[in-house]
Parts: sequence; C-alpha cells; structure tokens
Amino acid sequence: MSIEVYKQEQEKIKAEEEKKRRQEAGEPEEDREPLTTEEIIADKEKSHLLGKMLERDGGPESKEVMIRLKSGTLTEADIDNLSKYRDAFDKKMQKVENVSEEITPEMVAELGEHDPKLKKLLEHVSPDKLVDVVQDRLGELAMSEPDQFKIISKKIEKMQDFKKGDFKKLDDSVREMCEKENIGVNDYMKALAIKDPFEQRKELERIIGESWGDGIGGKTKRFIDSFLGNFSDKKIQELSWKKSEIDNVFAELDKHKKNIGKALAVTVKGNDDMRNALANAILGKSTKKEQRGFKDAESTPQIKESDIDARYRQLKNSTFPTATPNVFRKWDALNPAEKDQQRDLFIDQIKAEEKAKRKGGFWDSIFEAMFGSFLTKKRASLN
Amino acid sequence: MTTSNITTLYNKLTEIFNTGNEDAAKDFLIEHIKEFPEDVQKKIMFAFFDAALDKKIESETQKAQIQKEGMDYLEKIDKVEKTIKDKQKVSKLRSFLGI
Repeated sequence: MSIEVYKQEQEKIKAEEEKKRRQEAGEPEEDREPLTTEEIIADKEKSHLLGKMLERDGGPESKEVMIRLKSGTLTEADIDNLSKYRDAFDKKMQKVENVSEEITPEMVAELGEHDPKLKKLLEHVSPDKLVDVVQDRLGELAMSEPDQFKIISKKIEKMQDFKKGDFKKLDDSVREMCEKENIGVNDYMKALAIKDPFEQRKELERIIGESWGDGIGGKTKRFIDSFLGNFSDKKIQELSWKKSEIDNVFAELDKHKKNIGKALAVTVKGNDDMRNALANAILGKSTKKEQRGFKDAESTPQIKESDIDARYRQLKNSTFPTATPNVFRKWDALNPAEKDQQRDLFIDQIKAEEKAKRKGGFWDSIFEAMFGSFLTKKRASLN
Repeated sequence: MTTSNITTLYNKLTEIFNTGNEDAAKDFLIEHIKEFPEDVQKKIMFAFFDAALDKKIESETQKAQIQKEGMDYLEKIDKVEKTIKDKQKVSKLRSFLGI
C-alpha cells in the first residue's frame, strides 16, 4: 500500500469516526463529506485559503510550508503537518459554504434597492461578479479574521430571518390583516403614478412620513394614544350609552384602525416601491451612527512613503545577531535569504502598525486595503 | 507613497476625502473601481456590500418595529371595541329589564 493510499484510508476512517461522534452527540449532520488534505491541496482556491489559515493559526514552521504549498513542492512531512489543520479548516469551510449559499445575485440586487451606492456599483460590476467577490472574501475572512467573519455571518443570517423567521411571521400577519380588512395602498397610487423616479420617491417619502410622522413615533401613533386614553375602563363606564354617541365612538375607532392599516400596508412585502420609500424615510431620520465613520478614518494619520524609506535605511544600518552570543553582523554580511527575511519582517511590522490604527468601518477597510496593496508593491522594490 | 497607479488613485481619493465630501469619495471609488489592483477592487466591493447589508438590516428591523407597534395598536383598539360592545349589551339588557 502506497503512503498516499494509506493516508486517504486514514482520513476516511477519521471522517467516519467524526460522523459517528456527531450522531452520538446529537449534532446536526454535516452537509457534505469532510475534505481530505489531498483534496484541499489539489484545489487552488482551497489551498490558498489553507495558506491564509496557516498564516494566522500555524506555528513558526508553517511559513516554509506555505511557500512550498504555493509552489506545489510539498514534502511528505509537510502533508503530515497540514493534516493537523485539516479538521479545523474543514469546519471553517463548511461555515463559509453555508453562509455563501445565501449570497445570490437576487440578494445583492435587493440590497442595491436600499442603498443607492451599491446600486451605482452594480452599474459597473455585475451582480454575479459581486457575488463571487463576496463569497471569496468570506472565505478569506473565515481563515484570517474569524471575528470579522462571525460578524458578517450574523448579518447574513439576519437577512434570512427577514425571509423565514419571526420577521416573516410578523410580515405575514400584517398582510393577512390588510387583506381581511380590505386595506390596500390605494392612497399612494397617485404618488406611484409620478413618472420621475426622484419625484416619486420624494412624494412617497412625504406621504409615508405623514402616516408615521417622525419615523416610528409619529402623528398617527400620538393621536391614537390620546384617543385610546379617553377609553379607559373608567371612561367606558361613564359613557351615556346613547346610540349616536356609541356610533360616533365606533366610527372614530374604525377611522384609526384604517389609518394604522394603511400605514402598515406600506410595510408589507409586495408593495416594494413603498417599502423602499419607507426604508429611505427611516434611514434618512436614523440616529444610529457608524461605529467608525468618515471623520474617524479622516483623522487617522497615514504612513508616508518617505517615513517607510527612512525606517528601511535605519534597518539596513542596524546590526543583526549571529549564532554566537553578543556577536553581531552588519546588513551586508547577511545572505540573500536572511535579507529577504528581514524585509518581510519589516513590511509585516508596518502592516501590523497600520492594521492596529484601523478599527473597522467602511473607510478604514478601504484605506487598509489600499495601503496593503501599496506595501506589497513596496516590498518588491526594496533592495 | 510612490507614483504607482495605486498611489495615484490613493492621492486622488484622499484629495476628495479631505474636502469632507464622503458622497463624492464613494462615487470616486465606484467610478474608478476597475482601475484599482484586483485585491483592492475586491475589498472595495465587499465594503460596499457590507455597508448595504447594514442599511438593509437597520431598515428591516425598524420596519418590523413599525409593524409590531401597528399590530399592538390594532389589538388595543379591538379590545376597546369589544369592551364597549359588551357594555352596550349589558346596557340594552338593563333597559329591556327596566333596571
């Protein structure tokens, strides 16, 4: 039996054992058979992700293994070493696959309806391309920034909740109520007939705003609160019970029911133009602030290239330890591999400093990405 | 940074950025998306996706809040209607019985 066949057999046995353990522990079945180390290595994308995971979780020896992984020159010992990470990698990949399934061209197009900037981006990039990019990035985050992956996964799960969970149940019950009471969105049809999309949205936002006033706590709500306040049990006891008076009360209650119904009809799935207008009205008045916004990123000082050059000159003027204690070498005494190692460490250090300054948020992620790309180019030019 | 393409783009972006016009800075990213190195393109696209996800979640959550409040109000009104109807029945019965 060749060593490859032996290893494949071992992995199959291990997978069977894991399946049995899950069954016994009452854990849900995995969606697919676990990946073998060979399958991971043979797949370009997966081996890239494994490399990302090793960068974060691997021991000091993994850097060399990664180089051989990239160049396709892995040794038997490397494969043994990588097998140690197979389970953890496979679990992460399963999560990535589950979350990625939810990212579809329809989903990104729907998001674009709520976000003019994403909509604009989709004029330059196809929804399919965006889906691919998001799915790839999810894989990278799962391997190298698991906390970030967890945050984004939760958001994507929440999107599902809007479609299937409690949010869906609530939406269904509102729709049923509107159908039962024969409440439609006719009042808004005039606005919907406006041809200019900008004017239409403005008008929709205006009339929806009138229904609910300042976001949630609006005019209708305040009016109903005050009206219902007049109908406490005590007040009801005090009614004269004349038919005309009771009829008036019912007519008034009915009017408010219709008002609420009309406002709710806007929120029901199917009335998408109005739902979007409502979303914009809500977001336009939202008081929620980004954790790290434009101003925070703006005030974060950028590392200049001249500073990097100065620090690199300083590195080349410093001394480096040798195998003998208290004996140091100058830069020129280092061999090419040692110089490369020092350059890598130098760039990694700057990258880490930049990362530490960036606390997350839209602009931080943009500047971090641009700076990362610049550093990759800078690394190639260091001599 | 050097005069490589990424630096030129970076400089233009920071120039707009420093005017304080976030909207224009985002438009710049979108309009020049294909000029960025591929790895940066991907991260820009992902950042826009993530921001849109946040907006959608916030608006859906608030919309659900509106729905919940609306349904609660309808329930309150129904309750008041029912109480009045019950009292009305009692009142009619009393008047029938001459009490």
